[in-house]
Amino acid sequence: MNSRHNPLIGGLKAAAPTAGIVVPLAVLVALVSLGDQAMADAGIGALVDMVMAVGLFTFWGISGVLSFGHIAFVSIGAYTSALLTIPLTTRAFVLPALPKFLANTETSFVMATIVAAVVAAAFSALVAIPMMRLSGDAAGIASFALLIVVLNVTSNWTQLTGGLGTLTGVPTDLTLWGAYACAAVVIIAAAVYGRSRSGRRLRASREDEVAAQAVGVKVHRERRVAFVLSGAMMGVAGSMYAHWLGSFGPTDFYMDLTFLIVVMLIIGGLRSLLGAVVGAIIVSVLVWVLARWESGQPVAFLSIPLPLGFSDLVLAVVLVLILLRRPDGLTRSRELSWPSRKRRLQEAANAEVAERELA
Amino acid sequence: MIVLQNIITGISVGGLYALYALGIAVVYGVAGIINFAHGYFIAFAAYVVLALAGVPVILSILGALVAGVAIAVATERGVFQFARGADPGTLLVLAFAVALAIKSLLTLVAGSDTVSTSFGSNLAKPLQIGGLSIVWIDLVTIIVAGVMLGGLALLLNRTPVGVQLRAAAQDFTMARLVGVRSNRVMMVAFAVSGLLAGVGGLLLVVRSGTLTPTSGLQPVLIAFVAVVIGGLGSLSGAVAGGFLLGGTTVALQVLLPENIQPYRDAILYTLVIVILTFRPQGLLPSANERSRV
Repeated sequence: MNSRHNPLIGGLKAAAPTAGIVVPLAVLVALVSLGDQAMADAGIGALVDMVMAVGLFTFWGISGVLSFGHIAFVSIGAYTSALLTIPLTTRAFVLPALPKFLANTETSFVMATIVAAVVAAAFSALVAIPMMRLSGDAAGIASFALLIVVLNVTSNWTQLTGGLGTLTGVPTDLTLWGAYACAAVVIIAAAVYGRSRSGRRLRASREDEVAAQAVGVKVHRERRVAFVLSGAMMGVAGSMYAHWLGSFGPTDFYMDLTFLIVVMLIIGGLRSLLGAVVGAIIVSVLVWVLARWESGQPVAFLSIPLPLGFSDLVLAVVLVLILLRRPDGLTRSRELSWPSRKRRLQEAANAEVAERELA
Repeated sequence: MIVLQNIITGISVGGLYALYALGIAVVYGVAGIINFAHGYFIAFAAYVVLALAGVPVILSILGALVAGVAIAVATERGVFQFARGADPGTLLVLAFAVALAIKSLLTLVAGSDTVSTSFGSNLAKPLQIGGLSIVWIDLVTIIVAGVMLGGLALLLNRTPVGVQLRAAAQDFTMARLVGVRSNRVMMVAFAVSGLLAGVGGLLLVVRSGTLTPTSGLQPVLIAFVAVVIGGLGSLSGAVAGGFLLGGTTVALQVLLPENIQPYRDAILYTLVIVILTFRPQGLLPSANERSRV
């Protein structure tokens, strides 16, 4: 009860679970930074995917409305960032037909990432108008449709994106710690949103939409808020992706990436921020190890020859098993929290209620 | 003449799409699963046709049908059986996972490169009737679609198992209460969708001549759209949606100005979102799909 009245203690309590994610993540990143350049690249890639997983969690995890379309915002973020940061001399060569203001603007990674987030957020705000009225199956199908529409446009708007081919020339200036900083900002943003009024209302609507509406929650409005915020996060991830690889094409942002991020989120635990982060780490490590074995390289002096395509099969099987056996993911969709007497009592009471309902 | 020719193409494409859509609708109606893996059932059957290169055509056809049914039933027995009563989101993600599993299996066995085949390539020749020039495969597609739709209608309306299937689609709990065996009816639904996938796979191979493990994606996305347009859970709606989508696709192909042509899919799928916004249950929803709150 004290925390209600003392903003300092309340703030600390609120910050603790987030620090419990961000600080250990920094330790992990420090460990990765001891390795060689290939290791660092893999680490950056994992952080980029983590930002996407957290972005997807911010909408899907909190609202309970599924979305397979979020990678579309990553695509938009990546192209926005690339158009702002490809050096002008290269740009005249790779994208000769750009409109003037785009052909003459060159910004830093940070600036480009902010703009990418804003553009992706603006687009998601537009898309949210029709899409946030849907739920269940209709929402799933509409989100696929969104992914296809964006792929179709980025593949064919040659003037702006270079078309179906690979867009090259983006500076690969995203460092491991730079990627960590982006991830930390996004994680904190997700945590703050999750604890905000809007986040709590949305969570209430996830558990029981009709009851939430009955107590005055404007479900569609709260969903729009989360959708736009998660769109902005996906935009950040897109900008990171572009500056991680330096070159990419429209089909990078389609089913394969969608699937990878969905797997991360669900394996970790769909309904918790911790789950998104843990899932991203576990799946990244798994995919990295399997990919090395597929290409005949050893991991910890162990080399198991695997055929190409094996890692996808492992991911699919793991996902099926998790969905059937442990649908709340490895973290059981719980957040980190201080152990406290009050909570233990609460949990015991919950268990008792559950037991009585079963009987 | 040109108009008539385009109409025939439209009917043929529509028939193909209707077959794709029916496979999704049959399973959705009974199990409530939007079966994303259906496209990969189709791809699987198509690969079996490829693997059977050299054997008599009738055996290839049989092989594709058996493969489609086998993979569909195996999916039901191996995965979906254990997820009865899960919420729609979980089921959709599960179907997504099964799709990836089949795709990666195909990659493991056949590699990720495009493979081509000459199976049925003599059907690509045009048939001249007066001023009309119709490609044989269009004609074959129309006939096959007609036979399949007719056969399915007979199965659903004239056989006990078909009646049980329709009953389960209308009210699953009630059907169980009056003695419909749920596992059996599920298996029949998946088997029917597998048969449709087998036919779809055959037509896919003949129409495109090439295959990759991702060949299953396009059909399933088309089927999604057709099912949405027709109304989720309605079989006749799925057929209507398939023909409507096929017709629209061909019409857009013919009518859109050259410079907008590449954006056909964007226009089509934006329309899907718009339709869903105003009619989340589709244009022709089945009676039991209306909101009950």
